[in-house]
Amino acid sequence: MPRLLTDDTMETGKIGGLQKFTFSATRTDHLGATEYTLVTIAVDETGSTTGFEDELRGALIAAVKKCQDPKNPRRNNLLLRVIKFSSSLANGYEEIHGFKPIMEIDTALYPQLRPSGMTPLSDAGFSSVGATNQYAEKLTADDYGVNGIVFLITDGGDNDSTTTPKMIKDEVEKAVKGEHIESLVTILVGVNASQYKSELEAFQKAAGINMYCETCDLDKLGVFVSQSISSQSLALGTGGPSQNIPATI
Amino acid sequence: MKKRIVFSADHYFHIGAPHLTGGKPCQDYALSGVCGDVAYAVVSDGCSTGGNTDVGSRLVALSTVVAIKKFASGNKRGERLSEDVSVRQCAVLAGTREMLGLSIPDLYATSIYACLSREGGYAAVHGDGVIAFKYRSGAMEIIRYDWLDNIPYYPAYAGAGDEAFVAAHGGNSDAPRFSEEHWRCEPCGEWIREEKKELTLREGMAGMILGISKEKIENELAFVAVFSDGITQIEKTELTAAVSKFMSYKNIRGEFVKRRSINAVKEVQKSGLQIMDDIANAVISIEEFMEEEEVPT
Repeated sequence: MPRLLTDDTMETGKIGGLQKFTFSATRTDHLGATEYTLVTIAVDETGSTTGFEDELRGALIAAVKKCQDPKNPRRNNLLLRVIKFSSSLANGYEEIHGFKPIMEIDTALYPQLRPSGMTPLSDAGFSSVGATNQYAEKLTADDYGVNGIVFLITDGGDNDSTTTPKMIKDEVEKAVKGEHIESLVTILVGVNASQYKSELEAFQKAAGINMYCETCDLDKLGVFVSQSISSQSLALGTGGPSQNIPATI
Repeated sequence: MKKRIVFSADHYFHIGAPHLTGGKPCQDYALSGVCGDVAYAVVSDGCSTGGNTDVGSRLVALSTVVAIKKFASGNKRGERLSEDVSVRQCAVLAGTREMLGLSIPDLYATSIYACLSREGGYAAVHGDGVIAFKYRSGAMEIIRYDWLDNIPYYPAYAGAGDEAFVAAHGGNSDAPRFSEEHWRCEPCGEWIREEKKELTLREGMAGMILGISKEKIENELAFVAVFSDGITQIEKTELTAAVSKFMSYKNIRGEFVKRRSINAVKEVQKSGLQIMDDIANAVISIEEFMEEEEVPT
């Protein structure tokens, strides 16, 4: 699987023992802070995003840059993983990069999105939540404080996954019940997806995802993502998830 | 291939249960760092019956660091260096006290520190506290210094408060009023407590200096830690168990002492026990690399 922004400070893991689901992350002996928020942004690269793929990439870059802002007090406590998903990709999804300190990310290296294929939304969700759980367990074992936030950004419902929403739900529940992550917030974002609203809301419920919100304004999406990340990161240490994540974009 | 010794350092302090519930500030403080070739780890424990000793402990720690930075890069080692550091520390404290309008009781705080370079180093105790060594073999060594009747000597007494201090201890400078306790543990072995050494009031007032040889730094040591006496006051917990818990680092990048200490405190609280005093600890880690190896940042 080709990846950008990886180096010998990274290690790889398998999610739920499934061959297809792998992730990469910074080795814990290269992390200096006491606590981290694990952030995952999964971006739709399916055929139907044609025409607004540049705006999607722009929103992603804007969110990352906002998190890197020197005024963000949590910028040294964020580890970001970005994946894109489409049935055209070998395993239904591909890492743009694994969990990395956000300050080490050069967004200029983010590739252009090339829309094609169908929507393995469930696989993207399973990869996002599963990798968060697995890496959080390792970080916790090494004395780091950890919470997480996952964004699944899509313009349509699932139509090509090997996993089920129930499998995502199981991972979400594992995060809630287990002691290896303080809290996990999961957000499904529909972009230009008003005709799929009921389908996506049904998916959200079946997958145990915390909230669903939608937008046609991709500038606002970048702001929403960065604000939600900061808010969840500030909640780390309180014992629960952030109560300040906006309900709408 | 030539070996390279690389130091890193970190520190942590935590308010004890009585101060937290009693609306008092944490009176322990810690600092650490690497300055050129010299690494330092400093803790200070403010006297609970002094004045604003939360400020005092910070000033004592900061003045110790100023003094270490001034002298430690020179050629002096061991006791000669510690004397220079003490003199400079007292001068900085006196000047700062006057500028801030503090009283001498505000500065009643201990000074426990370690200072290492590739050529050697030392650990010093002025007051009470604990020094711990962890070796690359996994062996550990703990040395606790303590005063009878819990009346420690503070650097702030120097010159002005010595007579009153001696009187508070009964008036005889040669009386055994200070003690050194020593524990050792081989890798995976049991802790062995050696005979307690009684020391005179005079010796305690002079402060304890433990030299650390160049050979020990190059070949044996993994960590040198200094603790305030709060580490001895975790409910139902032996000192050896407490120090072992606080020093069981999972990795040593960045804020390694804070990570471990935060979790050690959580583990204590989770088991329903209280930390009955403020705790401070500061640690220097010593890593050995081959000349061509890349040093992790």
